Amino acid sequence: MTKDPLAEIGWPEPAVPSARASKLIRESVTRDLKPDRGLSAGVRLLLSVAASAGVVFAALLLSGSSKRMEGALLGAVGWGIVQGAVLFLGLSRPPGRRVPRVARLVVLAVVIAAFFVYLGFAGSQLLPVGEFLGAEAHRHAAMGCAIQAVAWGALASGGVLLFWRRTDPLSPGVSGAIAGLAGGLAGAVAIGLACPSGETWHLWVGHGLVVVGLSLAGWFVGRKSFAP
Amino acid sequence: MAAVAEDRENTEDDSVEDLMRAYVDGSAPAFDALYRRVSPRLFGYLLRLTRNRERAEDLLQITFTKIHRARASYLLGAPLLPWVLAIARRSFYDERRAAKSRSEDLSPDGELPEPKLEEHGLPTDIQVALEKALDSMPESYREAIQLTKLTGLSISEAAEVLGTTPTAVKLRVHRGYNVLRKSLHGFKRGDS
Repeated sequence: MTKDPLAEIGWPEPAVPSARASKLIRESVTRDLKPDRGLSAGVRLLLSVAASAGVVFAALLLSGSSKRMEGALLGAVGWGIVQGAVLFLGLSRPPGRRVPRVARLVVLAVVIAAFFVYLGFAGSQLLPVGEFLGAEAHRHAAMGCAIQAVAWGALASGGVLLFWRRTDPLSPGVSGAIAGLAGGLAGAVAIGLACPSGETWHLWVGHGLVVVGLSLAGWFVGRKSFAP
Repeated sequence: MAAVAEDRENTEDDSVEDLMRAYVDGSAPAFDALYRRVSPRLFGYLLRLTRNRERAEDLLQITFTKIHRARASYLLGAPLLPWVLAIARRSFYDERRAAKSRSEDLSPDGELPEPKLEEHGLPTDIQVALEKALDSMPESYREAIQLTKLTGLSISEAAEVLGTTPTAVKLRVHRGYNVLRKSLHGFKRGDS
């Protein structure tokens, strides 16, 4: 039988940096070293949820209520809970101890799909797609809602990104997408409370796509913002 | 967390995570102990990535600067070695991207010059053959072997650092081992 050459191999010992490099590093770090303990994951999580809730309330105060307010308020509370759960699942544990990256991506996709299904049920009228796209008034209204939802959502996402800044060098893109999703949901829910339209295509395009867009944007921004 | 001694004189029993916590709280001896424990594995990884001692030392310095700046963002309980290696890996790729965009760093064929890997202090023939085999295999296999076999990470920790799945890391290690076996069989035949 042939012997496996890897069985008898002597793997190289770890290399050691030069004394000069080590001295430089030690000096630069320990010079004026002061305690610098940041916020715990729990506090960051609470601040993130509070920022999103604050955005929804601010949007509500500025935009006024809509005719659909009562039903939408119940939805807003429900999606607030979902948002908190996503942040808890995706960010609350320290990097390296979180659920696997693939599982977090699946949660992301499922929540986005569920939001579209919810909007489908929340709509009171479904126009044929051609009619929705053909009428300038419909397109204009959806675009107006989308712009406002992006603005509010970006504010909420920015808060989440700020509170979790530099915390995840292992999967900064996925963490950024989760921050984007949380902000996107806040923005979409905020605009959902103020928007009088119950047309399903309007809800999907003007409110739902914002969640997708901000999740994608969060992925790219997070790669810079979450990584030290 | 195990009780971390106030005076930080005896740090041998502390985990690297405990030392990181004490360093975040402002203990310079804890940083020294942390540096002694982490830097050989970090430097070995950077040396394998860069194949150049000077660049590896520069990147080691950059990595520790980033760690220092981000120490308040270290979430307690996070396994330290993958956290540190991920920062080092990102620093390497950022530096490589920056170098690629600087035309003076490019060789005439538009590629980054790849300096030869420096020799280790183990001048036996099998070591030379091993270094050559590691040097010649695809970067993804080399990195997976470096992290799991030489740096001592688990498969799932290596997957976190590399931004991929544990299955992909296992596959890369397996394929890398096959390349090594092939090269080392050849070495033995050539040697005898």
